Amino acid sequence: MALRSVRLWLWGAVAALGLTAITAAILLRQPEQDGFGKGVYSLIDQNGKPVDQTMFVGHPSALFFGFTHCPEVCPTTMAEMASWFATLGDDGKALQAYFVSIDPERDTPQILGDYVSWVSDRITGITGTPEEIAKIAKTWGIYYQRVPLDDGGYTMDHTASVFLLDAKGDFQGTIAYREDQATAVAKLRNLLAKS
Amino acid sequence: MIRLFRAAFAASLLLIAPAFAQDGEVHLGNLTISAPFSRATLPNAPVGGGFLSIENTGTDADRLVSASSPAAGAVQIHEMAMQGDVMKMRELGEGLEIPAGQTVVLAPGGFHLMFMGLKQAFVEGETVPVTLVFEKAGTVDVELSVQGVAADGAAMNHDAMKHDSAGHDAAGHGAMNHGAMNHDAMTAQPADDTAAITGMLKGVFETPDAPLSVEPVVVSGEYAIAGWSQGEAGGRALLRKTASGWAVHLCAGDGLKDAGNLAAIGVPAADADALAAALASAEAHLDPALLAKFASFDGTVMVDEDLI
Repeated sequence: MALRSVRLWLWGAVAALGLTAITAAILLRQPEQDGFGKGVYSLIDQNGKPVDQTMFVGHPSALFFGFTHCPEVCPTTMAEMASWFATLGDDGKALQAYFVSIDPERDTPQILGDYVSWVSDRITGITGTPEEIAKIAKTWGIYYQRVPLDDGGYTMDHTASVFLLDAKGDFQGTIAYREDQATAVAKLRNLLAKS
Repeated sequence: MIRLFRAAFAASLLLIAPAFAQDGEVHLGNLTISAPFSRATLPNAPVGGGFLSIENTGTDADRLVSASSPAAGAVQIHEMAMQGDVMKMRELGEGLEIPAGQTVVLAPGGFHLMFMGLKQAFVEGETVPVTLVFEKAGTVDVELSVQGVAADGAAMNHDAMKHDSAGHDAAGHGAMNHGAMNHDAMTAQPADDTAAITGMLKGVFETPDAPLSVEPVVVSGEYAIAGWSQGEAGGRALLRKTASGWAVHLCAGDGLKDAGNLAAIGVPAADADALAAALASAEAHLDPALLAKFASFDGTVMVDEDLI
């Protein structure tokens, strides 16, 4: 009984103050309309077709930044993305995914296209000039850095989260690297419901 | 943070080591190499990872100095670590020390062999040969069994881990915790709990433009309270551990400092008392400005009512 009354009180508190807190949280996350996730860039997709920031408009999107020479994080995320698509089935058919290369000098459209085709036919590989890749990376706050290897080659450090965008192309949240499958799918379902 | 991962890593190895004991073991002097595996590669991926455990039963440290494979142009020894949401990869130019009496695990999320310039894709079900060179013990050939793209261990290990390759813990970037991420083990590993809770909260609430700080984290049994701050905002979260990891029950401010409130919410009295005491102690040395942020959380936001 005590428990129930506490819960009722808590829900009262939620009704009175929760909205304020949530609104504040949203405002904190999205400081300004032309801020996070809003940029202008010209890239090419895996088929060589020019694309720009409008590719994210009209459908919810899952956006990942990676590279095909990536030994672990990118293949793991691609495998998880494949399972998200499989789990969502028809419920997720509006969702489009994008793999943007932060190593455009090695990731040609064709290499990227074959790479992401393993995941789903609803993921598109995106590459472009290093300058334009830098613009989209800055837009999404992506950290990426070349790390030289002894053999003269290099690997990349990079942000590993998946970004979730609504049908307007606005940032709605992230899925962390190796996030629990059920949580990830729940986030995608939320995104689909909102979009 | 990397040190925490290493601690989790060490803990995971204690748990999973016995599962490896029967199969795939290779002995070389005082070294025992077990559970070698790799992961299938995606189309066009020119790199692959190799994973195994190396136990040193001797009284002197040894060192894995190099590796090679006919399947790749070169094999390097690397360490990966997640720093926040950024993956960082480093080549270990000096190789990897195998301390006397210890086991070093090369596993997804941490140390690994990096196969560069693959001659062909790694295909699930096949094997990849690799030659390991140790400073003292010498040279040994090992066959890595190729598992799924996101596999966490050699195939026979899956039951022991109580995970399938698609079912991940809720620790966000806690890939290194996989072996340890079962309930009983976590109870005995408060450092892992802190890492898991911090990782989960950052995974859910942190954004690139709004870093989230999580401190302190206090744990009692399957209940925990975490202080958090993000920009000018802050508060405390009450969490409970589930089969799939830690999850947030509700967020509030100073109300969560009180054992009576915790008990009223449904936390068992003993845990409520322990949490309140641990929180008071952990917060005693924190910056008053941070405490003011915690207190600034107005009211209560229920996140998952069924959790407690």
